[in-house]
Amino acid sequence: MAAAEAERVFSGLPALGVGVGFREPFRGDLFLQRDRVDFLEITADHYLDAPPEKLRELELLAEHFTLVPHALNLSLASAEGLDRDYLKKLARLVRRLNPPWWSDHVAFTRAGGVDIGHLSPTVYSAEAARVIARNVETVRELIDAPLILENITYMLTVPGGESGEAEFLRDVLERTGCGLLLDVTNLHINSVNHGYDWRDFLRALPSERIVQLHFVGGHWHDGVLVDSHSHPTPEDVWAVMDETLRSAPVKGVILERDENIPPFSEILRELDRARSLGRKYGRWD
Amino acid sequence: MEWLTNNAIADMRGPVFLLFYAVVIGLTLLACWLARRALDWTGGMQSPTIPREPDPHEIAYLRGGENEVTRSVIFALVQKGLLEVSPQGDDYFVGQVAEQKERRSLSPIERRTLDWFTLPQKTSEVFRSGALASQLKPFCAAYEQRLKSEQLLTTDKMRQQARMIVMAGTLVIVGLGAYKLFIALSRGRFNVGFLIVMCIVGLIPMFLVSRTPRVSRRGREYLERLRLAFERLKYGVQSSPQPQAGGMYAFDPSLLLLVGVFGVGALSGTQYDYFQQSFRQSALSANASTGSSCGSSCGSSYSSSSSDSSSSSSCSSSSGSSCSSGSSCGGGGCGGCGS
Repeated sequence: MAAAEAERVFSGLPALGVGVGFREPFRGDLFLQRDRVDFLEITADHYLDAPPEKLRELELLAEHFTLVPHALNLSLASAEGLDRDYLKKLARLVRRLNPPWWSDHVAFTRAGGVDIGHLSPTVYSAEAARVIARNVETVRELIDAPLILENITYMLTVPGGESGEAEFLRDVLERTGCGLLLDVTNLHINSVNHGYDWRDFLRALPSERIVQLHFVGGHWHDGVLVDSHSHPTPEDVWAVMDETLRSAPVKGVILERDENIPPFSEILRELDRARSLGRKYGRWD
Repeated sequence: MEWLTNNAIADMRGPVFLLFYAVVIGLTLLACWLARRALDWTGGMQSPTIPREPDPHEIAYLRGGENEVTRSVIFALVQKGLLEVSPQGDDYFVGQVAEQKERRSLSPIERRTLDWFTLPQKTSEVFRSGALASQLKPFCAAYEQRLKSEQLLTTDKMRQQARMIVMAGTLVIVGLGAYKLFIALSRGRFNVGFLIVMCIVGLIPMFLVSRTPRVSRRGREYLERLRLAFERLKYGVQSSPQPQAGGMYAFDPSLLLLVGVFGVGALSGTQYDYFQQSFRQSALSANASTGSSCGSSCGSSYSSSSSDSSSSSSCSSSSGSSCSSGSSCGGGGCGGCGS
């Protein structure tokens, strides 16, 4: 996809506002607080081989919220190519929901036909970017909706790289024509664990491609900051989000709380704060 | 007119006719069931969206009529600290709290209910004929009207048509049986016991088939969606809230909504567990003394009468919730009933 075409696609996307990654415990509260949740991100993998009960849930959610699918296992960085069965199921789900965009990660979860069960970083090289671009082309044969790619956290940098993560992401976005789902928590965690300035990282990214943000709080473990989705968003992450919303035409932000789930009122407080930040920079109403 | 007494049916031998009669009864029942089912065309309609501010009393009314509204209103008043349920011997009594709080915020149905408990009453008294549940009927008229306009409740016209179908079916079964009986007797044969028994046995399922659900197919689907939407609220309210000063708990609209959607059975395991126990007991004692059946957790969606008032039936059910493969994973949920 040409850069100009990609920019046209992403600038034309609707501003969704502020939402939450859907988790079952939120379901009742979500229906009671629809005014304060603009859209939901659903984990696509939960609905690919889902029992009827989950599909009814999906149908109910889709009738009341804009849903954005977030896939975990496409394994776009796999040099061996994509799992066609998985891709077909994912394509069916995305077509069914007809979302404004959908997302997966700049990572691999499968190697040599073995499912790793974890988002693993790839080597930051031109060859790895070409692999991702080739896989994205395969995806586009089945899915028309715009794809945005998410940065992940990593404990170690894969040896053999030719650039830093930010430069690699820029290369991937240029080659694929995809948008960026910038996980500001991941960015903050990586900057802490690997000792770089997140502002430099942000400046190196093509800001016009940043479509959506993820945010949440992690926790410290043995001197390492862990992306556990288990705590309220810390002030440092709010600062990253503020700067990103100021500099990029973000269309939506999602709070990704998975563990240690608090009362929904706390979730709403974080959403309200994120909404205010976006309004401050005119990203949404 | 000779054909009336000399034809294939009239001349059919006893066992062959009984077989023929059984087939006719079966086909008639099937036709009546299909015709009655077809009367409720609301199944193909889009179900209403989940309201942004659902009215628990209205949902309770949809689920089980006045009796369920009565339970949810009493519970609302208990939660607001205006009524209290206390055990006395084997019974539970509902009465006004001695120190009455602000009443102005109460709805008319809540005020009427509160006034009814000027003297403490046994929970089983609440549902007796002419008692509180009956007195709340006028307040439920608005619910009835709105739910009917949304095609969530079956209409009088549907019930009327269902009665016509039953009458037609009954006419076929009784008419054929009576005709054969007349022929047999006119030919001096009196071994007609099986014929009469078959006619009666055929009419029993006819009346079962004819029962028109009080809640339409659209209404039942809507209730299912409400249950799916709000079943997870149970886990939030069961996490041991702390009482306020004076031992009272804060008014939790989620709890009232749960009572509206699932019935008082949803209070099991919460700080209001005693409430669902007292009303379960009231249902049992009302059953024993009046013969009426009245469930503590949910009302029936069936009514065999032509009036719009519902009779409640005891029922309970549960449904497990699905478990996602992610890190957020919950347990089972309360299913309720009413469909």
